[in-house]
Amino acid sequence: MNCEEFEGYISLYIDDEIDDDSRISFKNHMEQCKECEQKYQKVFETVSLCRDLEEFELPDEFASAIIKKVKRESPLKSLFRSFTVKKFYEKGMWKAVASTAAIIVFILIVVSNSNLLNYKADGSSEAQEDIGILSEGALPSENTQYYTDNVVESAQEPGIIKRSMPFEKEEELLNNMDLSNPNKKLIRRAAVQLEVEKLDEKFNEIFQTVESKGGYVENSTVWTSTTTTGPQKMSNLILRVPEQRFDEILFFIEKMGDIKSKSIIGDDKTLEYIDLQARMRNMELQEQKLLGILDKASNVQEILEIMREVSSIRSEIESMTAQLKNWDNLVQYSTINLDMSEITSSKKGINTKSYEGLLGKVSEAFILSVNKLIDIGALVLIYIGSIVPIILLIAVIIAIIFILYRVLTYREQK
Amino acid sequence: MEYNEKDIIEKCKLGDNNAFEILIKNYDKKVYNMIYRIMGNKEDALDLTQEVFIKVYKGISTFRGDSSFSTWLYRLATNTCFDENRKKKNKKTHSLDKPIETEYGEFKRDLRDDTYNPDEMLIKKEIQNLVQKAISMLPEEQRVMIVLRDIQGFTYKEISEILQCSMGTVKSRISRGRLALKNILESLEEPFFKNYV
Repeated sequence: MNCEEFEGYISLYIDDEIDDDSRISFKNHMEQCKECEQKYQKVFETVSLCRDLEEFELPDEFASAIIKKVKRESPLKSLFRSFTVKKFYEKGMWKAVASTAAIIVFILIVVSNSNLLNYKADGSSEAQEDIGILSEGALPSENTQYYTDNVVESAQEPGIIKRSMPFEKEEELLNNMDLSNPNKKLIRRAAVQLEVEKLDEKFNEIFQTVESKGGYVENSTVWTSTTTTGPQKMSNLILRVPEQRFDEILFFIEKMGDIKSKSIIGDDKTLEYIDLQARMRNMELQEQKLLGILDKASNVQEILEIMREVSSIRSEIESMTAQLKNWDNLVQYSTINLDMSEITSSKKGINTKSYEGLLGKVSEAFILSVNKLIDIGALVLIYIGSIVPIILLIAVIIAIIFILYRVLTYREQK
Repeated sequence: MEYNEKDIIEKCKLGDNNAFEILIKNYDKKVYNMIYRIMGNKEDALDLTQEVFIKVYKGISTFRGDSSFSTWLYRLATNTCFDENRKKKNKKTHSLDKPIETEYGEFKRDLRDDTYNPDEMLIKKEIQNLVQKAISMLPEEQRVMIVLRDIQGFTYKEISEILQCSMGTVKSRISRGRLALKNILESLEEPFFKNYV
């Protein structure tokens, strides 16, 4: 054993934690080396100095003071103590809290920018933003109320021709019917639902086209509707177009976007029209005759009676004339009820068409899952967005509890 | 009343304050002296001892008896000291001021004492103060070893349990601690070892 090793064994020797072999060589070395023996003595002395250190007494009331302190400690408080603000700083918890707050703020910004906060599950609520009724006075102005009444009325009548898909055949049929007899009184109505991109542009385009073709806009509404995918612009147009231009304009409108639904109604009023005309002519003849009788009337009572008869016939003739005029108008100007809703192009995702072969299929699958991921990501964002207010509320409540607790403990310490 | 630790601890777990008081009285002196030697400051030691027993009160329900209660208690005490030292490192002005203040305070009390104490007593007290000063100069890990082994008299095994480190670590730290303490005492102006060599 050399002096260096000896030093390492001093403590073990003192504490008797040394094995027998080492103890013998330790003792041997100590006998040979004066310096090491001195070192051993000094360490031994150090140890005994430590052992001799006196013990200090605690104040008598120490234990009872702790009991008192502990008694004041309610279970709720002791739960809180582990979360005191002091520890909060010492344990570096503020870093975690700060970064969480930053993430929440970030999400908030993202969500509010993409308007996802407007999310509502059923999408039923609509924030209507009515641009107003744009009624052009090009013709005797149409009363909307009257128009709807007429629809109800005509729907009950037997002469109605109503068809839905397929669009093309139906159109042909209507065209043939129309062109076969120029005197035919056919009221035509079309209802079209479209999905378009850039609704405002399309809206104005339709407006201009209709006017340039001699038609007019009877009613137009634009509003924003909130749906699951965010706000959606929608519009409703009631167009009146010259009967001859009906097909032309309808074709033009259909090209504007994707057709969601379309229906054309041809309401044949020919028989009723002729009937009404005949009745009116009868009435007129009757009126003429009554007027002849009136000239021959001798006493006042007769005159009054005939006058009453004449005036009732006159009013009937008038209402018939109005009805005929209205029919003429409806026949001359066909009605197109156009609903448009805006779709954003991003919703469509990446187009998967035009990929062929194995490689094409692989890339198609890839794009499909990317699109799915985008959808899921959007949903997650929406969900987080909907949770944010709740989280904020909880945070506020926790903060209030913290402050209350701190105030309470501070008072107690005082 | 006979002291049965297991019973006492069970009672403490149920929230019996009398049992807890007995438990405190049984250990407070040892804990206090241990903390004092590690911290080198009586005021701190008193506060920390209190803190330790409050921690015991709160944590006793989590004490499962895997180790002996004393080991658990001393581990709590040493950890509390380490925490306190770590805090003090962050506010250095305090750590520099406090020991000087206490050193001064104790010195004052010694002066008062010496009017009726014999000279030997005074010398002994002075030596003790110097030894404490020397211990305070040791690095924390060695100081704890000296306190546990040479002042409190724990075995190597107990120390390894309290500090949750290996026997090898305990051995080497005790060895280095003692040699370091010896060197510090030698370097002090007082010729410590003259009388004994």
